Amino acid sequence: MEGSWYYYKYRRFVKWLGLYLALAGPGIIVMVADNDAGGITTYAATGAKFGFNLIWLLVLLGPVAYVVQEMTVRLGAVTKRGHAEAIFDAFGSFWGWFSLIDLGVLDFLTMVTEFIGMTAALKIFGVPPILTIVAVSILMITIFMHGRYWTWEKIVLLFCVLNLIYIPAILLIHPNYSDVIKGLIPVIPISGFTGDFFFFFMANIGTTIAPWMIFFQQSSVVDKGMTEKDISFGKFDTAVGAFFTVVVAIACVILTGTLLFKPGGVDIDSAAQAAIAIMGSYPLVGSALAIGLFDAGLLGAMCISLASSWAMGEVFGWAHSINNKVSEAPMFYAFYFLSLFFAGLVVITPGAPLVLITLFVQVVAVTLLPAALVFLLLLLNNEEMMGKYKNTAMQNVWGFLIVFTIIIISTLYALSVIFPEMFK
Amino acid sequence: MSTGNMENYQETKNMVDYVDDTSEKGRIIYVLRRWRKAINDINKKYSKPRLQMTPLVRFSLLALRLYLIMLVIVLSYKFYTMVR
Repeated sequence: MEGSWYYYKYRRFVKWLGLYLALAGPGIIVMVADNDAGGITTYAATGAKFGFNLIWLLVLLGPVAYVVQEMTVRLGAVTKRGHAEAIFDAFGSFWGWFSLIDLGVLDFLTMVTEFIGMTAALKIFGVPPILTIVAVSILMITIFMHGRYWTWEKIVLLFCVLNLIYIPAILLIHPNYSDVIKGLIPVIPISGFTGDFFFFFMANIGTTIAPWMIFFQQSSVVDKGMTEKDISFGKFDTAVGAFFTVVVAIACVILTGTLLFKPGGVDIDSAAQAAIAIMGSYPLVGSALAIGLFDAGLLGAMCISLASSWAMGEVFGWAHSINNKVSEAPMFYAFYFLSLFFAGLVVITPGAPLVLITLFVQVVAVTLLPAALVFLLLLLNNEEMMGKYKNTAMQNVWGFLIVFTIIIISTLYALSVIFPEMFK
Repeated sequence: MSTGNMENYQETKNMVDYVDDTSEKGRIIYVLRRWRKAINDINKKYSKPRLQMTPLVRFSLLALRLYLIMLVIVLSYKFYTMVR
């Protein structure tokens, strides 16, 4: 009797797992891709500068990302519209154009930074930048042109698994685990609440939510054909993704915190620089950091270019599903290919202002992020549109608190990029 | 024929005229007109916001406008100090 009860539970679990694996994707992909080339650089620099002292902040950022991204799942599944189209419809053409143009510019600049990360990572292994860009573009186009959303998603999920490369790397360096656990307790470093500390504090929060993530996940939910009954799976998927994004971020901090951090902190400019520094003493670990950086850039580029193409397709009324063949959705694919081509071209152009672009991304991001987040909250509170899936009072409390905290911190971070002396 | 239909008719007629024009200039003008028509159609389609303008929505949109104006001022100041 008891045996059959366990068997029943087991069968139910297997059935649930099968359903989840079929629906898994958008949440994990968007969250893991959130740790893009810029994100990995931020974590590597944080570890080198503050050791394990900011691990607690990364743990807190998981739920923060979940609260925001979960709303896009509900909005996409209920309205069957991407975020760009939803903004046009709900707020009119002024805010619609503002969001679409801003998203286009921001995504393009962010793609350039992903290419910079990828070329820097493979340069460590002696691969010339132009070869990296050509190979990556061919790879992305091949995956994209498969003509099936399901195939695209499962291939991208494989790249998400590669993002976990930092975990075996940690096992090779034997960090002081008691110090890692101490890092889970919120403390201000011995050096005090300095401008540097505040800068890194803001940078880590700033990398948590990017505008493309909101647009990407909502469009992805729509393209996948998720409906109201799939929302619980979508939420679980997002939670799993949030867990992995935190794990990867912490792993990266542990790596550089163990191998590069010295009392007083060590300044590094990029994850590639950290990988080169580590390679001298731990070649495998340094290689893992470089491969992870490349993978992070690739994931970011794949998702960001798609977020823009989906948004353009939604607004201009082009066929815009990955399930469409190139001949069925020529404009959608053309936009994707052109954005790839021009982003790659910028990176290999001699004398291109790449550092300026990297900094400028943060500034452009704060012109769109507040609008995208506020629109998300307003849409989620619209009963006519959302019905019983609108935000509850508790979701609103957390939603508004998190959204306004992100807006304030991101704005301060952008200001610190514009005026570097501001928090010194 | 209503004013809107008249505009559409005129726009389509202009586009057809340029389709016949196979010169490079003609093709560019045709593409530009097609884009303009697409943008006009989008503007017409979304001319009225669907969301009810409750006090919360009005306040949020006003706050966003002020925020963006502030950002423009900050960036302009930065640009001015860089140029100077």
